[in-house]
Amino acid sequence: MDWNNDGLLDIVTGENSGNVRVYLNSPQGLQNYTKVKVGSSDYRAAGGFSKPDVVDWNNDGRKDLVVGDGNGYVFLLLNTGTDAAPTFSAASYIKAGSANLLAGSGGRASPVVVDWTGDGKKDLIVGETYGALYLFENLGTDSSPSFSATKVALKAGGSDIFVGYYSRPEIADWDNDGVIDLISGNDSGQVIYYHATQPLPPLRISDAVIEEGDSSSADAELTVTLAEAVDQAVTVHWSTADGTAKAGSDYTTKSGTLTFNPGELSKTIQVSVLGDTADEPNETFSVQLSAATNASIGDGYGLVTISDNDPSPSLSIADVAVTEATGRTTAMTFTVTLSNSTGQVVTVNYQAVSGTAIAGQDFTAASGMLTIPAGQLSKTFNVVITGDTLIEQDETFTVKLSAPTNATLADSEATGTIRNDDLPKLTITDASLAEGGAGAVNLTVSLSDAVSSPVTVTYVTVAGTAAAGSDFNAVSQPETLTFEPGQKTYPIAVRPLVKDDNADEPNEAFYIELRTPSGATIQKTRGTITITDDDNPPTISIDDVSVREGVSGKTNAAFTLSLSAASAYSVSVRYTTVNDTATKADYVPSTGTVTFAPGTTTKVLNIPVFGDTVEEPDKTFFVNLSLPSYATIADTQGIGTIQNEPPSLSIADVQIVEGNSGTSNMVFTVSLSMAATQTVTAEYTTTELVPGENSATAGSDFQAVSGTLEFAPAERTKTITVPISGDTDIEKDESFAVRLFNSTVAIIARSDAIGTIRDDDAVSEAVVKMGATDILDGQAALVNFGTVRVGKASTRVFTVTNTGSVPLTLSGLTAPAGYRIMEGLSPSLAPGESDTFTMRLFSRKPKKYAGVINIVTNDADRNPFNFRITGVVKK
Amino acid sequence: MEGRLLLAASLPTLDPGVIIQDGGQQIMVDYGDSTPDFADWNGDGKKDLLVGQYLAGNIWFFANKGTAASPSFNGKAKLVAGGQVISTSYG
Repeated sequence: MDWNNDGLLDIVTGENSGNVRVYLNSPQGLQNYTKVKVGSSDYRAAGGFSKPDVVDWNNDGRKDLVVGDGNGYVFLLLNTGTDAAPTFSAASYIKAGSANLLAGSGGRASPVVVDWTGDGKKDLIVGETYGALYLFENLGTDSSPSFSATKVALKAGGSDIFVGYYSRPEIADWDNDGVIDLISGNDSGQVIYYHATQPLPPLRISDAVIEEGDSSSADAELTVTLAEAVDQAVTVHWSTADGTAKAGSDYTTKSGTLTFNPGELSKTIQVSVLGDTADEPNETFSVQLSAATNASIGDGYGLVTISDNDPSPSLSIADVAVTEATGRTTAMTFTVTLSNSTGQVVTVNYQAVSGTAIAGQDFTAASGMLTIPAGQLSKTFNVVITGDTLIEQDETFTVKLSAPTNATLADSEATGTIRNDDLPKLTITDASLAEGGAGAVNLTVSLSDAVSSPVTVTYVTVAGTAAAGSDFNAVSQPETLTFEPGQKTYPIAVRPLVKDDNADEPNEAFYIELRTPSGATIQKTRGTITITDDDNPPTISIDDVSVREGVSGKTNAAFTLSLSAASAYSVSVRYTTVNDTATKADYVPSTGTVTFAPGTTTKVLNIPVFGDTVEEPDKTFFVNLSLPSYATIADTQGIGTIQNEPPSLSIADVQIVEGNSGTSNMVFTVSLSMAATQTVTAEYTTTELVPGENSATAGSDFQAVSGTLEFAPAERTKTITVPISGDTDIEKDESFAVRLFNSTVAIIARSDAIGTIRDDDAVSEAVVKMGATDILDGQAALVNFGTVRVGKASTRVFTVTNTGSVPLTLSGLTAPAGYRIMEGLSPSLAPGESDTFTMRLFSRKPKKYAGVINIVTNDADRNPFNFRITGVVKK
Repeated sequence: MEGRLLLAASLPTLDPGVIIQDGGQQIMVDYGDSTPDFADWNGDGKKDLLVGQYLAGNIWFFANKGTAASPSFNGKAKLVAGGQVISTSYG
């Protein structure tokens, strides 16, 4: 080798000292040696027995030194000088993998640098004590070699080479066939030649990296290249093999054979990779070449890396609130959740940290590591809560997550809230007040325990027997009471309405009702306010009564029972009649109960007395009271006086048609109700009515009369005659009165009679009679049809006469229910003309039929002319 | 790179070793530990053989009497440097 680039071969050799000698050549021959220096010192291989090789190791154009030593290591001395004048500044171990390259356990490394694998990169073939020749393949680059950790023993003729001890390889194309051959020395001093034959061109398969995707599959593509074109077809088999990625779940297993036609240099292989959404490490599998024909396999191992595209999941922990349970423990369960699925086991530490809730007191200290198995999304753990009976605020503690693996922390803190279940109790007192009492009644709302935070409660009034508005002012919108911290009582003043009455009544009550407590519970909801009655029961009195017995039938003696004051109760009392001079012939003895409705103060008790026409003294009886209820009796006895009925005088009304001239008499009849044993007298006089159209005038229309009537004993009737003057004036009917007064012995039952002078001038005048009896207009008259049996009829015939001076028009006749008009009236009657109509009572329904007959006329005074009729139909 | 094994199929195949002859006899340098190298040391266009050895540290020169493609040897000489036979320390 030409060390100094002078065109002459030089000798570089090692020796047992470890030095490296250089014998430079010259035209005169080899010169004495110099030693290779590192820096300023002679270089010595560490283990002695240096065996150098000279090569441009790092392709910088300068020769470098590679030196094996006695321990079996190989050193590199990089040339820091020039190619023609090498200098060295350091020696370093050449590595095989991560360890120092060691030729063999017996030492004596004898390296030679050569691209033995034909990949364009320098490899190392190293001899050693035991005679093998080892190949260290360069897996790096030609300019930056990096050697496989594994050495390969070279074979010759199919067997591992054994040169003899101390193999010392060298390379040379011994036979000039273009292929580098191997030659080695040995311990015997022999030189052994190994003829090499060019290998088949190598096939190499690439690696591939593919992102996995989430669900669909994607194809990973690997390229198989042939190092050089060959004349024959090249085939190679390939198949997939599991690594950390597994067939079926991560990729689809596949195999096949590639064929390179002559001249083709590359082929591709596609393998399906399966996606998922689980976060996981990158995974790998391989595509391996085998069974090549017409080619060697230079790199038969294609690594496919499936790069995970799924995000690292995040961890969250949720807040939890639990109500404490008095006297026992409760588990508060926290849930730690992963944001998304992961193919990896996730762990995280948790610890419960005291807040207002104290570890060891309110909860049991808790910490640990939570493990979420791959594929699961959540995990729970419990913190044990201790219940108590303290009335307290809700308390909290914090659970903190830390040190996650295979996940991040999104929400690392949760609040555990221990809800207090113990609340103070609210009660309210009752109160009472006399109804007449003024001022307020006080009730007290009490809290069973003082607490540290405000307690509120509202109240309203609720009516009971006492009514809102009349007995108290309602509080219908809740009033709020606030107990400040520490406060245990709260007074409420209630001012019932002062309603001091005199009515005896029950006590009344209304309520203060507590509602909507906050921070407390209600133990007693209502405070009762009683308004007590201060009134005594009323007293009962009965009056004395006098009643005139009447001439027949029964007349009530009406006793009035009175209460001294109205009562809220139903007051009652028993009564019993007791004879005095009166007996059951005079009145109806009776006994019973009189009841006063609440609030009433009087009640009338009717005791019937019998009327008669016997002259007799007044008689008396008693009504005795007893057994009062809700009252006392002030007057226990009422006296009933039955007054003897005296005879009575009555005078009847009269009407008369005036006539056109002369005088006619209007005769008034005065009747005595019964025959008297003494002479009865009464004065009488005519009087004008209140002046007006209908008032007759004394002197012109009638002649005033007056005088005294005298009834002899047993005589029953007398008459009074009033002369009437006729005329032809067209006028209204006119009236005057006859009055009785100043009677003796008898009383006057009807004192005034009306005398009516009916005008007959230029008017129609309807006069109705039944037989000879005048029937007066205006419902004063009553015609009785009597009593008939069902199916039978009672008939009455009425005559209508026009006593006027112009035709009387009769335009309507109506009958009440139960009656039928059997024969009607002519529509018109000339002056003086008469007509009859017949009315029949007939019905199949037994009852009393009463009503009014209406006759529609043109009589100015009597339209309609009407009168009452009555009758009874019985079975 | 890990897991990758170099495959013998990619390497040149070597024939069984043949001991090189010198004048019909196996070369066997004194004291053994032969360390061969090749170079056209005499400048005749054919590779020559240089063999180092143990103990004496001499370097023997075997001139190629054959051809470049089919070397043969017949006779050897120790290399001299600076007028003296080369003798490395236990070569």
